[in-house]
This record gives sequence, C-alpha cells and structure tokens, in this order.
Amino acid sequence: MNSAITEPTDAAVVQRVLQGDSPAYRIVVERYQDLVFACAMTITANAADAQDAAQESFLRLYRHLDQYDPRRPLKPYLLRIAVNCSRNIVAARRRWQPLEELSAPMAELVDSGVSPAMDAVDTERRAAVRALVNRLPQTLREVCSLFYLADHSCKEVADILQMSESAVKVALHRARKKLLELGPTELRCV
Amino acid sequence: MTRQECEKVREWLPDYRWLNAVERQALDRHLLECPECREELREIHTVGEWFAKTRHAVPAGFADGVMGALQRETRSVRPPAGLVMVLVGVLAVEVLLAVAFDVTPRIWWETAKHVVGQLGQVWQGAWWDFKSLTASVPVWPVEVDLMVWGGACVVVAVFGWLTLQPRKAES
Repeated sequence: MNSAITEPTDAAVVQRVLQGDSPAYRIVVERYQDLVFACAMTITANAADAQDAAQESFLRLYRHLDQYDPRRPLKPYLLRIAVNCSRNIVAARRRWQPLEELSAPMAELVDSGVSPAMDAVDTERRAAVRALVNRLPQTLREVCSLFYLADHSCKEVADILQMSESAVKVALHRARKKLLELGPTELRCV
Repeated sequence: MTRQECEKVREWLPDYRWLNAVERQALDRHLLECPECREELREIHTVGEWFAKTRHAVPAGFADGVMGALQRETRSVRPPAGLVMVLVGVLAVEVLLAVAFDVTPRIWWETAKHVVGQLGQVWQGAWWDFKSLTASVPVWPVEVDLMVWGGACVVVAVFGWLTLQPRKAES
C-alpha cells in the first residue's frame, strides 16, 4: 500500500490540532524536523543553536497555528519561522564570533553518532563541505539552505525570505561562484 | 545563439527542476548547442550535491523534546501581563487614596452599599465626599481592613509570580 495515500495532509493535521487534538502535532514535527533542523544548521552553523532554533520554530508554529491559512502550504510558512528563529539565535549568541570558530561543534555532532552510517572518509568530506558552506555570508546561506536543502524554487525562496526573485537568483549565483572558487579540488569529486 | 539568449537561459537555469515540459524542451535545445550554459547547469548540480552532503540527521528524541516542551507550556496557564498591571495599578491607587484621604476598603464598601441603597432616589451628597462618609459609616474593625489589604496583596503577588514564569520550557 502506498503510505502517501494514508498519510494525513498538513491542513488536516492542523485542523485536528486546532480542534484540541494536541498530540497530532507530533505528525507535523516528525514530518518536518529533518528539514527544519538542516536549514537551521546551515544558517546557525552550530548544532546546539540549530536544535534550539528548530525547537523554537515548532513551538512558535504551534502558538500561532490559528493564524495559519490552511489553503496555503505549511512548509514555506514553517521555514519562514525557522529562518527567523535561526536569525534571532545567530544575532543573540554569535554576533561577534567568526563562523570559522563554529565548525568544531558541527564536527562534534557528526562524531557523536548522529549519522552513524557515514564512514571516515565521507565524514571528512562532509566536514570539509560544511566548513566551506559556513564561509558564505549569512544571507547566502539562508538562500542556499532553502533552495538546495528545502528544495524550493527561486520564487518560493523569495516569498519565504521576503525578497525579490531576482535577488534570490543573484544570491544563488554569488554563492555558487564563491563555493566553486573556495572549494578545494577534492570537493569537486565528492 | 546570442548573448541575450544565454542570459535569458541562465536566468532560468536555477529553476530547471520546476520548469514545465515546454520550457524545459526549449532550454534543452539551447543547452545542446551552448557549452557555457551547460557548464553553468553542471555547476548548479555540483553545488546542490555539496549541500546534500551537509544535511544533518536531527538529534534523536527531538520530536519528544518538542512535544514535552509543548505540554509543559500548555499546562502552565498564566494570566496575561496586562491583567497583573491593572491589579497592581488598582492596588497602588487604593494605597494612595488610603494614605491621602483615609479611604480604606471599608469606605469603598460602605460607599457601594450607600449608592445601591439610594438607587431610584436623587443622590443628595457628593460621591467623592469620603470624609463625611467616613464619619457616617458604622464601626468596622481595623482587622477587617487589614485582611482586605492582605488579600489584595496576595492576589497581586500570585498573579505577578505566575506571569513572570519563563514562557519557554526547556527540552
């Protein structure tokens, strides 16, 4: 049986939660936790901050669920909250700390067994890629995380970040050029 | 194949995955003839693959943490800060009135009783004439005043404490 058929839609789950079935909110959390965490991780460049931002995003969504229009998709709405939470955390905790110093906690997360399937070489490559991504300015990381990780189109990214579509395309172009310019040769064959 | 055509194509390239069949066909035709635009698309794919490598699995028990935090947050029902401000304001005004004009809770009580008693009749006195009211009200032991004061302070303190509790529960 195709599981996609039986899974309730976001709008249906939201409706249930609004009618008092709070435990149903777990469906939303489990459905989007990986995505929200990955985006928060790309923006904050720190595992603890990403976890805080992701948790705060889900709590904030829950608190303002009555303001959500069920005719619109939930994912961009949630990601907008996640971006704002990540921005707040970066501004509050990391204002004066260079991002290069933040690569250690990310490596710790990888080494702590969160992704046990990765072998040593792969871990090294992933760490190198993350360090590379962290060298991008925050705005470019936000755009890239929504475009590459959350799989949104340029127009959707523009809506989420409340910027123009052409600004998103320029940001993607700049990020790409910068990554390709900074990226060591071995990254090209990752 | 013109420079303008290449510029137009490069504007579309990031959204290659979301193009419809007709748009993609047109783009593919151009890409077949233009190695520079092909290279641009390859770069987009390469960077996309790099980002895929940065994906983290969410820490174990994350959903439990969120649901636990939500439960704690829902359980702790707190009065709104505005209500506490009103209560504090009322108490402060009452303290000022009591100190300046000797308008204790007893006076308020007797005033209310008097006004209710006068309903339907023309009110002769001035409602703000607390001094005369003080003189005319029957004796009310000072302990009752103190109990009313104490009760008001306890109510304000409890509401204030509940409101100042941290809103976000730790996971």
